[in-house]
Amino acid sequence: MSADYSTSLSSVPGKGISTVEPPASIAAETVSFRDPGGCLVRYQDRVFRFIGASGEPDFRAFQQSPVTRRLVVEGKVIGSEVLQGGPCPGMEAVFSSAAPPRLVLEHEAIRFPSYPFEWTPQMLYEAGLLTIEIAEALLEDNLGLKDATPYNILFRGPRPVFIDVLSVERREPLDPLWRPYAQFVRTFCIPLLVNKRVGVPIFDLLIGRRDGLEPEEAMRWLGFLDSVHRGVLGTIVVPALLGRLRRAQGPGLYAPHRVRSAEQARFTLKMRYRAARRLLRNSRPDPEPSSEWSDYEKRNSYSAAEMAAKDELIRTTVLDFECRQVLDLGCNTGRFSAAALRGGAAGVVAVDRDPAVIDRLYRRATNGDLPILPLVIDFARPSPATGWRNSETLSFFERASGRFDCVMALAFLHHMLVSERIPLPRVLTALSDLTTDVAIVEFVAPEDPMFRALLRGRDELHRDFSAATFERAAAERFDLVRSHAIGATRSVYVMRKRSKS
Amino acid sequence: MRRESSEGSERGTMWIRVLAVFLIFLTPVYSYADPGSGILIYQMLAAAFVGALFYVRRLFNFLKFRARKRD
Repeated sequence: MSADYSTSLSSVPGKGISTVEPPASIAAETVSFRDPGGCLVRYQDRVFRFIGASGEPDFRAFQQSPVTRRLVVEGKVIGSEVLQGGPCPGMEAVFSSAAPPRLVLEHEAIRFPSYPFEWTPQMLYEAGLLTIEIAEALLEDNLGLKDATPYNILFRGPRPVFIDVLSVERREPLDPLWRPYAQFVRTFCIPLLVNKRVGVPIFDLLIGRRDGLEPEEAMRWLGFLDSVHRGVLGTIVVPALLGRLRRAQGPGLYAPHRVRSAEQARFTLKMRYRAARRLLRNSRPDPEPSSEWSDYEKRNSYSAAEMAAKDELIRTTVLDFECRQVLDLGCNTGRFSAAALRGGAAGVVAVDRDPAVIDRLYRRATNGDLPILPLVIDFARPSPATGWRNSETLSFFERASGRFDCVMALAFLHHMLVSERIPLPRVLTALSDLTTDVAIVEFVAPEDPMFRALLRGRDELHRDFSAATFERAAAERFDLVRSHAIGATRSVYVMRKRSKS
Repeated sequence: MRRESSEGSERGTMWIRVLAVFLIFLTPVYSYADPGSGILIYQMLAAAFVGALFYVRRLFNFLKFRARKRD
């Protein structure tokens, strides 16, 4: 079958998707496979969704609904185009069902996918709000959501966007229950509450759990004062109590539930969505308390002039080399991510291992509408690939390698060298793997007070480390373009990756 | 006056909450074979309550309409 990829006329309008060339063949990775109605496939930089016979009627309903059209235009739901001509050679091998797919969609690709265990509580909260907002909007067109999990949502900069188009289904008009409500509570509300009341980080709660926390599990962490708290009662304590009632359990619990009028069903559902929204609001995270690094702006060792000089250096470097996608390692306040944006970058992914600083940066990015995606990532122990066969979520390096034309490591190198004990050549190799062009690295000398603070007296370990050794090691992978001294003990180096000959 | 009564209801709900917490620690645990059912049961109970509310509201509006028609 010849593959004609002219864009279709009838699909939900996407935003500037170019279906320029059909891939010659697909050695693609199937990203999602649980829904029998279809699956998601990623190939190079493009994202395709195959829809089978069982998923087609629901998708058609989604396509024709004015509500979903509005949501796509508002940027809340991912855009998609139906590909005319169907799958191209090789794609059939990827589709897991016995029958060939009825439809192939191409979705707008999100530049940097991220996962719930990398988000701050506020991001998880915003994702939950978006889910409820979409569920409520869909009710107007008699549509519903089949599931409610944070894995249905990705972030474009600071804005969440709903990507699981196959989750939208036609509602049974007399059904008053929203079955995914339990999943919504488990994956959004309960982790947020345990994080808020007990202080367990989101990463710890979600890295090992695909489907959130059960109320019974959450009970383990709660003390008496937490249990009596209003938000906790409805989300955790009462459901855990009800779950223990032996008589209530049994197959009858899961039989389809019907009421007498469609109006009553809609009213009940509307109340349920409102209750879910209220539950989420009760789980709303407080602005993060200070951590060791969150007061950095006030307590660092740079003078105001030195900070301003660093700002300006970043801005002009990004401008001169026309960097578009920037990765900021150890971003802390995100001050230099903002400088990179002023230099003309289109987007920044800013990572730091401290959830408190990432939370502050996220709020700042949301308020200022800055295209910064802040994530909680420890560069020395970054997100692994998780899920079935270790391939449902991609590791940090898999997502990041070759995706950025500028990588910044400001006031960062000494943390890797001293605290994490990573040898200098390995750190530089990692940076050169991540960037396609520019690297901006700040050298901090061993005499520097921050360096000495990290050393904790083991001076002999880094006796050989100096600007000269740094430059020599960097020159093996990069062309040093310029360096700028910031104070007596620090210099910022601008380097370009040397392409392998 | 009003503040006293709202304080009273606050204390009332507080005691209900404490009671629920005690119940959870006191009820025997039968099985964890179906741990997800608690939230679903909660939703079904709420749906039954809301369903009743729906009909009460309809009845109330109907009576209001009838009363107006008589005028």
